[in-house]
Amino acid sequence: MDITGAARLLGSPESTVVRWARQGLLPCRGSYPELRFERSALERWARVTGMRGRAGQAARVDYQDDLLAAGILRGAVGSAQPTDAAKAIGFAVNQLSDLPEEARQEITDAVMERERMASTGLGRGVALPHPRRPVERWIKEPRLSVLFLEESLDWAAIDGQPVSTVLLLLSPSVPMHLELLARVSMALHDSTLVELLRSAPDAVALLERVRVIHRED
Amino acid sequence: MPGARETLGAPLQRVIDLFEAREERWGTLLVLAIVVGLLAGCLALGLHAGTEQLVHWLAPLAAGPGGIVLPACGALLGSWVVVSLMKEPAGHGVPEVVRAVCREGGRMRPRSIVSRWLGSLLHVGAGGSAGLEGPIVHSGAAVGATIADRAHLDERQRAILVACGVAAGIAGIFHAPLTGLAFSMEIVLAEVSALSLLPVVLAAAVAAALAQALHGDSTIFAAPLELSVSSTDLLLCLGLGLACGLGAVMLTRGVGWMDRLGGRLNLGRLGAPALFGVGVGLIGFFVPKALGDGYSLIHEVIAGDLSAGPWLLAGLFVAKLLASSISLGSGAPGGVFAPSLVLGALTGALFHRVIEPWIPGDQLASVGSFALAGMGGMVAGTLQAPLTGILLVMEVTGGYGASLALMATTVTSLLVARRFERWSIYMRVLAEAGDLLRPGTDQRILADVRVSECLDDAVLPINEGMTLADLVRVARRTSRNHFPVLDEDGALVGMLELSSVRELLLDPELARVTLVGTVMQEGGARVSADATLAEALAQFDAASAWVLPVVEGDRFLGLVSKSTLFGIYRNELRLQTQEG
Repeated sequence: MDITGAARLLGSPESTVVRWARQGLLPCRGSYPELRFERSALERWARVTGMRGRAGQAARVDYQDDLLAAGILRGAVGSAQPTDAAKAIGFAVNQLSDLPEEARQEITDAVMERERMASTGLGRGVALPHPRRPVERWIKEPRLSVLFLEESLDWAAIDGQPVSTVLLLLSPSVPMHLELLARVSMALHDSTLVELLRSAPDAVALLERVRVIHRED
Repeated sequence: MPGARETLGAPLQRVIDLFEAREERWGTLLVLAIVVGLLAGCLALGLHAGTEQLVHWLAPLAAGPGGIVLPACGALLGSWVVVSLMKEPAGHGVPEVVRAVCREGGRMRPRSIVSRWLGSLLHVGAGGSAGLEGPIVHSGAAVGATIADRAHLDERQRAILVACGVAAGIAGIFHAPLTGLAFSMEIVLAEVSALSLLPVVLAAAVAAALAQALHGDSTIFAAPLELSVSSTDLLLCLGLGLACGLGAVMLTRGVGWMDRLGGRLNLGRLGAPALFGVGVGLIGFFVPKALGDGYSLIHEVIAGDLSAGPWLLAGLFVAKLLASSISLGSGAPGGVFAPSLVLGALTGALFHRVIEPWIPGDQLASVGSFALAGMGGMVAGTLQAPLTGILLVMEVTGGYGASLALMATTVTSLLVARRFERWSIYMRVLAEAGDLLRPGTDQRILADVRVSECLDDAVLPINEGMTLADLVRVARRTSRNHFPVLDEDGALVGMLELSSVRELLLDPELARVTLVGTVMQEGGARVSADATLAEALAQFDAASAWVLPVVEGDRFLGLVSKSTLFGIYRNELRLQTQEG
């Protein structure tokens, strides 16, 4: 391969690769500017010298993914009429019917623990319950359980408004949770979606709007 | 230059001024090198004379049954002087000098001038199977260090004077200035520059000249070196080198083994020399030639006066190997140089004896030549100092024509020895303790500086119950991006980097319902406050981080950033090499 290929392989700028070659530090053939490198030799060199290059950390989440839509697909969309916030959370968790009883109990406890610390009602009729720390044991990918409340409930939200949409967020890791939150934040800035939520849509309609938002971003 | 002016007077001062170069105080260094050379040379001669005298006085005792406990008494007394009286660590002498140069800027205590000198006189004089070279090197180095302190020299110059003392010691013993230079460069100083070379050569030359003047003989192991450039000789020398390398490994491992045995038996620093000394006495009872520093045995072998068949020679070798391993491994003061020479001479003689039937008489060099070459080879293998080995033999015999043959032996021996032992007998203990760090090198700076010197404690901590909205308020008061998350006891529970929650901070609704505890990084890397720079940087690499928290146990102390570490490293580099 040539200098450009070598630079990409080693995760370093081309000028650095040229300098290393000139200093006799790097296995190569020929002389500048016709330097040639061999992949296996470079890989061995990188391993032996511990050069990991300055390539930026690989993004843990591919921004192309529509995380929100995927989360909803792996989760659930439904409605119910619970009598208080705690029951609402229980309903939202139970919507994830593929999870064993033990899992749903553990998740409900974790979410309630968080809810007791501070209300997740963020205003405009939406609540965002989630566990305080990721429940890695049961959750391997981000999942959203959307529960529409037929009668809005008091959720001690910041703006004092009752909540009619519960978005239960479950993530396998902190970075994934942050990313999911960011997507939710973006979605909730879309006034059309907020309007749509008030009408307790079905999964298809909800996903359609979510996908549109993602495409426009 | 207060020191020189006080001690040497005005006219000499004017001469010095002629040579003074900027702040390097070259002239002073040269004059002091001469002083060190004279003193170290005297010490070398004194120790040899004193030991010979003691051996002479103790001869009647040694001949009788009391001879079995005599080495033990000597070892015990010698160790007592060094360890209890002078309160110095036990050891051969040379490793202590290297450690002083590597880790303490060459500082040595004035009492070191006499501690091992006296100790080894008692130990070796009573029959201990060790050498006087290590102790002389130690004394000479201490002389250099003490004079350097009196003259208010800086670290680099002190290291040079220490090297002068070392070189002068060796030069005085063997009447061989170049050998002294090679030894001090190869082992103690490990740097060669114009500034360091000349004073050391001067000191060595002065000491050698003094030894010659007072001692008479021009060479200490006088014998013609008959090895030439013929292919027979070269091939034989390669074989001899192989034998020496193996012998060197045996000696190194033997000493190490005895050392560990002494530790395991938990005899203490005086108990081991005493008990092991009895072992030496027993060996000496059957093989008297294995006792003492062995120079008389070397003379015998070289002169061809030792009429012994191969089995007897092998037996002598084993006896000396055992006796030296025990004496040296016990911790009693004494060096490994002389035992290496003895074993080398015996190896050479044994080799000669074995080869004799196969090579026609007129093509085979004398037993003395092989013995001498063996000595060089053994020194090269045991001390891993090939130049010292080659020069020693060349200088004491005047046999510069044999250089190629000698090189074949010493280099082969070194390669064989290194195949089995990464470190020489001197350096092993230092390397294992992590003390083998040459001054002004990268590794030393990274090992010297601790994280506690680099930490930033002007940090605003947050706790996990805070919301991100609260965090915004805190973040407004600081320009930092990293926040330690602490619990009520001040223990670190996690770290929060602003950039990871940037988007959330921009959404007031979400910021209000997201807790720090949910989005912080738990279980990340933590650096201990007394970690070295090297350890800390390794952690940064492993975590791919730029800022890490510093803790003592669980207690949070502050943050340390990679960029701060590099700034401090740069400063230290400038300070320690004084070239920036």
